[in-house]
Amino acid sequence: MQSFHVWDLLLVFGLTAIALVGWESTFRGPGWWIAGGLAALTGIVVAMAVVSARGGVEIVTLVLLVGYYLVSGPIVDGTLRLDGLRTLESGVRANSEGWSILLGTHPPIDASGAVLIAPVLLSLTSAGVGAALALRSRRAATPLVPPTLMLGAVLLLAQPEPVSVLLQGVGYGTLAMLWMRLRGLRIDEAAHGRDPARGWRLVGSVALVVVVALVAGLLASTSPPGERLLLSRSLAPYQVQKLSTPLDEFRDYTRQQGRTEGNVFESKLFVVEGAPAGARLRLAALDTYDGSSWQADNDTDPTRQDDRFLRLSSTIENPSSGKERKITVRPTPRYTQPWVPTIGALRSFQFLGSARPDAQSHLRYNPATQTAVMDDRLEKGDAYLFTSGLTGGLLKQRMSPSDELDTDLYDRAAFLQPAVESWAAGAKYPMQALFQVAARLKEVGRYSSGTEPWESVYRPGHGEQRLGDGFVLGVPTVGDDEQYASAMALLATRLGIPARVVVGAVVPKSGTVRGKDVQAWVEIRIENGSWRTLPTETFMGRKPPDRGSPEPEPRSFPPFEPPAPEPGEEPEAEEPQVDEPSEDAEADASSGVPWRLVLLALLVLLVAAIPLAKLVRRRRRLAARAVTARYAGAWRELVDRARDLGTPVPGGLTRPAEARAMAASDGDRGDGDGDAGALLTLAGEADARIFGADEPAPADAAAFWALVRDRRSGLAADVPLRRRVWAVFSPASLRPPPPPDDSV
Amino acid sequence: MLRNFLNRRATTGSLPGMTLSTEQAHWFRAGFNDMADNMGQALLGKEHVIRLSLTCLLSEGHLLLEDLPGTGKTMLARALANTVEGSHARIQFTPDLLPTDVTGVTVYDQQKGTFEFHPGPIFHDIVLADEINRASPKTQSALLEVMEEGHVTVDGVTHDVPRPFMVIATQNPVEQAGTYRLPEAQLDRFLMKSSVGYPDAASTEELLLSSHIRDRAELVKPIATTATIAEMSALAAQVHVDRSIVTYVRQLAEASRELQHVRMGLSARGCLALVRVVKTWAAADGRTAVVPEDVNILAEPVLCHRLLLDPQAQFSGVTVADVIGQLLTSVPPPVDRARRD
Repeated sequence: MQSFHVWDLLLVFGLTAIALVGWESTFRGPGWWIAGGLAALTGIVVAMAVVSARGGVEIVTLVLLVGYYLVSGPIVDGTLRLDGLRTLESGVRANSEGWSILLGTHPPIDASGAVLIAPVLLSLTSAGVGAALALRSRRAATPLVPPTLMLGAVLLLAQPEPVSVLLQGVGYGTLAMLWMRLRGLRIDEAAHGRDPARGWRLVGSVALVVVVALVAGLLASTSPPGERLLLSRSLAPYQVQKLSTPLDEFRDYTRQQGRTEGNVFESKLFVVEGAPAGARLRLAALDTYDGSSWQADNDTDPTRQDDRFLRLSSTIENPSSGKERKITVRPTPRYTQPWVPTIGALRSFQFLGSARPDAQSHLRYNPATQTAVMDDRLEKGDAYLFTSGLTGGLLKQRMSPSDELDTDLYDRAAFLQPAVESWAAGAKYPMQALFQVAARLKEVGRYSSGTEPWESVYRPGHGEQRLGDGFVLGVPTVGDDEQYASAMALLATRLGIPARVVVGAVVPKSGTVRGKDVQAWVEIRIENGSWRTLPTETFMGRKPPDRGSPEPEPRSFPPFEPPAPEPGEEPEAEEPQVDEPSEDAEADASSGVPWRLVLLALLVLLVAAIPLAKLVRRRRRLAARAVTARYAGAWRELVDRARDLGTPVPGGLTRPAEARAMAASDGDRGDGDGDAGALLTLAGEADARIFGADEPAPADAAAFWALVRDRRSGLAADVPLRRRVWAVFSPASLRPPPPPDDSV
Repeated sequence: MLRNFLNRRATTGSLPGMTLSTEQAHWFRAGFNDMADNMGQALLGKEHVIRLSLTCLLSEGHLLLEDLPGTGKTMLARALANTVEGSHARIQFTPDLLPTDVTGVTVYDQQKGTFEFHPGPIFHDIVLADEINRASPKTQSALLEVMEEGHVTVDGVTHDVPRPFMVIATQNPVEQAGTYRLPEAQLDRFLMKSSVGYPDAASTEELLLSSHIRDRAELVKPIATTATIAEMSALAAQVHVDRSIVTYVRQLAEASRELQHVRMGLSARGCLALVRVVKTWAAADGRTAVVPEDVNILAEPVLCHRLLLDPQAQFSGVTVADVIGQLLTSVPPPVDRARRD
């Protein structure tokens, strides 16, 4: 290794480090840069060792990848203590899960466990392969490829906000261009002798790069970076819309006569500590409506990138202006929902010691709706502690609504248009119309959860039929929180005001939340993008329905005629939402080692190993230090190709004898006459050059390789396609050849 | 056409320690091929044995031809003798042949009053020793000194034989009555042992069609002078032998001593003989360096009379050719040159 190689290695490390820094906003804690930095150093040391032992870039890559798989277990476990196959299993599992955790977790991600796989692997290969290329390659730009690929990978895998446009863009580019230029000058000098104007050229290059860097830096500092491609956006988030919501099962939280199964009206659901009395504890915020029910969903907020149910580390970037509170929630066995009660905007979250060890891995959180959910369910003992900023507040009529209206939702609410037009008549501005509609709803409405037998006609559900003819558009208008909140949110949306339904509870003084404390309310998005609670008393009263109320009939909305319901038409029964069985199957599958993936990976590795080994062998033969070894390697390449094609060429023969054996086999196929002479000529040429008195020229060896390549292609010319394809994967040439059959 | 060869010379001189140049190698090949073609007029379809005999001549060795009667042993010897523009003689070995009949005798000249040496037939450039195994061991031994050292000592006086000097001996393997088998020491003096074999079908028919030619050896005209032969021999000695080839020969020798059925393996003299002939063979192919294939081709003619098999081999039907084949199989040839650190 020469002195300038030290600079090469330092620059490889520097560029890798700049690429690594791109994860600064993604990870939390020092683990990621310690692991990444050590991996980069290890990669460089391995590359130096392999190259000094005359190994090629392929060998370096192979050694790095094998080493990586061996150490990934201890890295994930965070200990050097080896536990046999379990350690290896940890590594294998981390390699299949780590990437999805990295992409599917809200930043910052705790820098420990499986997610460390990413910085370790990328730093190791970037620095290792980059160093090997810097030491072996005679092209100026080639060693830049691994660090640049790593930079691209980090940008794709990291969070939307780049850590530093100046460092990652301008800094990286400047360093890379300078290095490339220096290498180019050095390589030119080695090939063509010292350039008399080397100094001037160098100064000119540096000046040019500095000018470009300054211009780029100015542009970068004045223009905000645009939206860029992120792998996390293309990864499917947790399919929360498949879950049954507390709104669907709202009557489980209300008093019901004679139906106790699943009813938790009097049951203690969870105990909340640290929250002020009267704070609104959220179970689920529901922001989409499909005509039959309100649901939670991903990607519903066009103004945010993080409006998805993703995994949650111990902390989350979730800025809010509210006062920070540290709150503990202890669920009871009676609470069997997957929805995780939270208050305000979470800033940190951790399960307490009584919880399942892997509880955190089941947690998903959407900061846009401030809703948390388990991908299975909250279990007894899954107590948790979180800090959050208390947000929200009540909606005032003087506030202006947001313009970010969900047009799909607006169209879905079209069936309530007669009521909107009638009840909002005369309002001068949207928020006035909203409060006016709310007041009308309260005025005409009665409250019942179908508790008494005679109230059983007031069925649960919030499909279009139930909310339309069975509630807003019909008389009498009877329902409970489910119908009032659902209808009010749709009426608001139809008024052009963004709205959503939230199911939760107002925390009592005791902190013990029972079923009867659960309620549904409506949140309205105001001009500044925040969500405010529409006071429930503005649209929902507690006046019970009159006993012996007449059969439902259409309400009149002068001057509009509401559609008359067909006689005897029953409200459409809503199908209970059930989890798809495949979810459970997937959950079961993900709990163990992904053997199918492992087997598939092994199979792919096995299939690719033989062509890869042949490629490595060919590269080593081609790049042998001794020129005569290149001749010998070229001939061996030809013989190996013949063996892979099924030609029996015994070992221990001279080259002409091998040529005759190959030609004899070709002769069997009827086309060997022409080949025999060419093969013998090649064999003779190789022997003459190898055993000659003079050292052959490298250019002659290269020309010989070209001849061998031609002949190599010719060997397969008359071989069936099936045999040619098999030759690629055939291990015949990797095995020791059979001895010639000439024993006494 | 063939005589054009006589007018050509190697373009550079041949000095000891020098390596053969490509031009010299090509000149050597052309000359060798001319001589082989010339001899081919006498022996139809026997190119390989012709080239072997020429190789033996240019390696300054002696050739033993063993074959059935009528296969062309004597014809080959005469053709080789005729192609060289030098002296040659034929000695028909019989049981009553005396050593002096070969080497010559000193007689008293009464007129001069002195003893004068009358050289025998051995004092020629190419000597054909026909049916050598019919002579007594004493007479056979008379050949030892001259074949090995190139001179004859009679009555205490040493007489050098001319250069080039080559003995081509023939013997019949089937008629063993009244013959004396050549001892190993004597056999070792022969650089090569070969056989002519029956001609192939085409050559046989061509031979029969030209049966009006009573003596085909007369067709072979001298095209190379003794000086040319000497120059070619000197050039052959300059052919490069890589260390890996030398190692290969050494390994073959060592392996030959370990082989089953072999009572006596290859000696150091045998190794030297092999290296000498492969150099000439390489030059004859127009090459400046020896390759492993040369060793394999020439292993049998050089080794077959030097390997002594045990009696079990005879009972098992194992021949020397089988043993040499096994020997070449057991030692892989070099694939790259020895590193010159």
